[in-house]
Amino acid sequence: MAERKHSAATPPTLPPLPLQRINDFSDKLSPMLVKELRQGLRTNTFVVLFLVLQALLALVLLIAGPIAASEAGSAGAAGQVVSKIIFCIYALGVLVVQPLRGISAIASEPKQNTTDLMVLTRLSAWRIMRGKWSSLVSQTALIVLAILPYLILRYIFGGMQLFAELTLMFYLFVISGALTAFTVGISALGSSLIRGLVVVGGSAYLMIYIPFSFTPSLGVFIDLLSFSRQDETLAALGILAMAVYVSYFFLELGATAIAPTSENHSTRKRLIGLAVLVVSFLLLQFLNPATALTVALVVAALISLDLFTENAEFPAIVCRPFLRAGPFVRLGSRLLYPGWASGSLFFLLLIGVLTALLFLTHSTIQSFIDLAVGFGIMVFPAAMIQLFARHSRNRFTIYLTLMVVCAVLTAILTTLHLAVGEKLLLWIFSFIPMVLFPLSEELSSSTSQGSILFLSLVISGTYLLIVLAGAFPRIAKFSALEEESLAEGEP
Amino acid sequence: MSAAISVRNMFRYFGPLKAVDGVSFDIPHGSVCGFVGANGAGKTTTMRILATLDYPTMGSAEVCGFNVVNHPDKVRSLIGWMPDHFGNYEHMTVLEYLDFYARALGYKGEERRRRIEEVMNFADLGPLADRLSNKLSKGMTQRLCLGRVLIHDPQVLIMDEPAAGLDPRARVELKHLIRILAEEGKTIFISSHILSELGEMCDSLLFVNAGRIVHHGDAESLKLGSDATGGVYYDIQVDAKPESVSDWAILNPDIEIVESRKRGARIRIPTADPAQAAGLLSRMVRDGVRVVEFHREERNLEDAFIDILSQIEQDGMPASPPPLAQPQPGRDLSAPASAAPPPPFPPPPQAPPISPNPAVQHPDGGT
Repeated sequence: MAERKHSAATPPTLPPLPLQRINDFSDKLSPMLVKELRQGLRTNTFVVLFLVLQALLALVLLIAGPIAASEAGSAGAAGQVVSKIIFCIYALGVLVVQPLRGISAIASEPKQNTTDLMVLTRLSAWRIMRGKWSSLVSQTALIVLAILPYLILRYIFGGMQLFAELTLMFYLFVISGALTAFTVGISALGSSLIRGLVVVGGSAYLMIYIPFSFTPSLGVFIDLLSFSRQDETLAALGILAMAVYVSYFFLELGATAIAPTSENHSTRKRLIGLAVLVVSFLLLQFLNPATALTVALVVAALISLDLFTENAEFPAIVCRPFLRAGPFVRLGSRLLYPGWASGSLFFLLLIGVLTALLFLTHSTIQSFIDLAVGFGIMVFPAAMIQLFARHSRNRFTIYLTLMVVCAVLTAILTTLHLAVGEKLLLWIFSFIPMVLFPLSEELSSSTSQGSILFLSLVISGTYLLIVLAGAFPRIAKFSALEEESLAEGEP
Repeated sequence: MSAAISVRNMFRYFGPLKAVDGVSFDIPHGSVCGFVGANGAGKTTTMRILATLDYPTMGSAEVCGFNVVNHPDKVRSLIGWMPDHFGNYEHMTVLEYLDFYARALGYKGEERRRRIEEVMNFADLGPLADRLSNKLSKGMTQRLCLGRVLIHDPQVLIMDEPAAGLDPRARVELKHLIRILAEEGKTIFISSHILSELGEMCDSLLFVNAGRIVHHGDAESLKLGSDATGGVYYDIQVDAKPESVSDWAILNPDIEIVESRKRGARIRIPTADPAQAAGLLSRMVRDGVRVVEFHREERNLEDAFIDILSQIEQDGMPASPPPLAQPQPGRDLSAPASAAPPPPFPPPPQAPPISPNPAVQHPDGGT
């Protein structure tokens, strides 16, 4: 491309371009990370948070130091108070403020009409999401590094379990990463309702939980992370693994939302989710079978959130890799194509796998009840969408909102039931699968578990059938898409 | 030689709305093609499909021989997309903005520096290097956007209303830059509401209405009125009240008042026959209209556009002009677009797939 020619006889002498400034970050770093760091380090939120943290921590140490010096015997106690204050401030910073910064990470891009411009570069949707997230996490890491000297100063006060407290700091950092992934992922979904719920509900909860629950029981967490018992070690590792999966899941959820529909993110997401579910269930069997089932259901709930809310439309080109791989994979493609229709079939697979795992591990009938109710809870919002909002473009928001409404309603009904002792209300609302949890507990004394299981299966199965009835016509169109893909060229 | 842009019988539905309705056209390599249509006519949708940001419900679109759906990555490396509206990032300078896109396009080290320097010099962005990119004027922003578009030196530029909202000076600057790019042999597909500017820049013009191509031809033929839908325009000035022309014209049904002017009117007569013009003048004089000036005017592109739309209202939607290139194998394109069969399946109810938020698609409300 030629440079623009100046029409004047003597072109004006321009100062040289400050191009050396673009080498402030290595070429090896992700472009998104470079961009986000350049922007992020200039934002007021980060600068203010950083300075406030420093000022608060310096103040705490300045006050605690003289107290500890004047009362030699209570130095350890003063140190523990300092620890609590440091962790409280740190946790608020990394678990509330930093993740909340992610809530507009992608949401601001469509407003500025910049998503399209990024999609046209070599940045994949996944790299965009990862870049946004890693920028925030690296800023969180800067905060961690800034706090470390205070923790070491606190060591002077005595009574400190250095390794455990450093590990706790690391864990909070990892959980912060997962929460940041959650907010960054949610920000790509374009629902201001959900973002508002996260900001108001999530942050309010954490801002109450951290100073009034987490900080007073800091000693319990520190003991847990001293890895003195095998089950504690396993639980700690499990939390770490779950944080990694949650981070991946929400980033991939966001990537799916911003990617062109010709990019298939669903297959990988589903297969990884299934693998995590199976591995976590089997590993946690050693810890506690009930915990294993709970964790597996949480993973299944995450997968379902995506399965039932994906956009059902995708172009024929998505079929090509499946057609290329042969008839067996082609059959499997019915479960792995993008969209909630194939997602409904994959949900059947999840039920089958978890049921088989329960049989293999000789679980109790109660675990089957929990399984039936758990899957009912997951499928209920999807059935409601199918019945009342099948053409909605924002299935994710409706699904999540219904889930929150069910949770709130169940909490109210349970409270009323406990206060009044009347089962009628629970029976009236027993069409909501979540209500089956308190109801089954209530019935367990008077009714056989087999009957409770039957009731759970009938209710959950009905909702599943409603969803499948809506999914099959769309699944039937997959063949036409495959034909189209074949017609457009060699698979 | 194959076309730089080739669109065949392309449809795009948004629920029940036919945003693009069986469009076919070709744009040869190295040419500048203007895309003209009212708001909601389907310009932005067509351009977004070509830019791989959307996909057709049916039919095909190719850029330099690569299908936009099947080979989006290849197409993206060949095109530069300049949307009608875009924002800039906060807390980011012009230099950093270009650096981000250069990095995102895969340029490294000295090559990255060189590409940025080239586009900065071309778009005259040097003095703005340290300015925050979201604090620029509209004209500067468009130059920055053009700089971004050119970083990877694309062969085909797709520009959606690049001159919208620019002041006259910025518009002239932008036009100058586009002209240089055209001289360099780039294929430019550009939409604009300012038809006079397109006429100066473009080798050909595509008129679109209600998702269909209603005219594809060069600007000169439209101006001369040689097109089948055209008429001949005369400027009439009178030494009396200007209404005297329109009052007289009402009595002559073959004459259409196009525009009332300070000292008369601009009229249109259906044929270019000089004898008819002479007869018209003599009738006016005979009827007592005090004509002091009577001369033929070149038809401007706005007139041509309005004429074509009026013709459509009278005659119904015409068939899309036949494409220049051969149909794509595997697709039956022998029938003209208007005779194309309706899609065999109901239109998908979903929004465009690229950005999940429907508000993202067309910030100006255009389709």
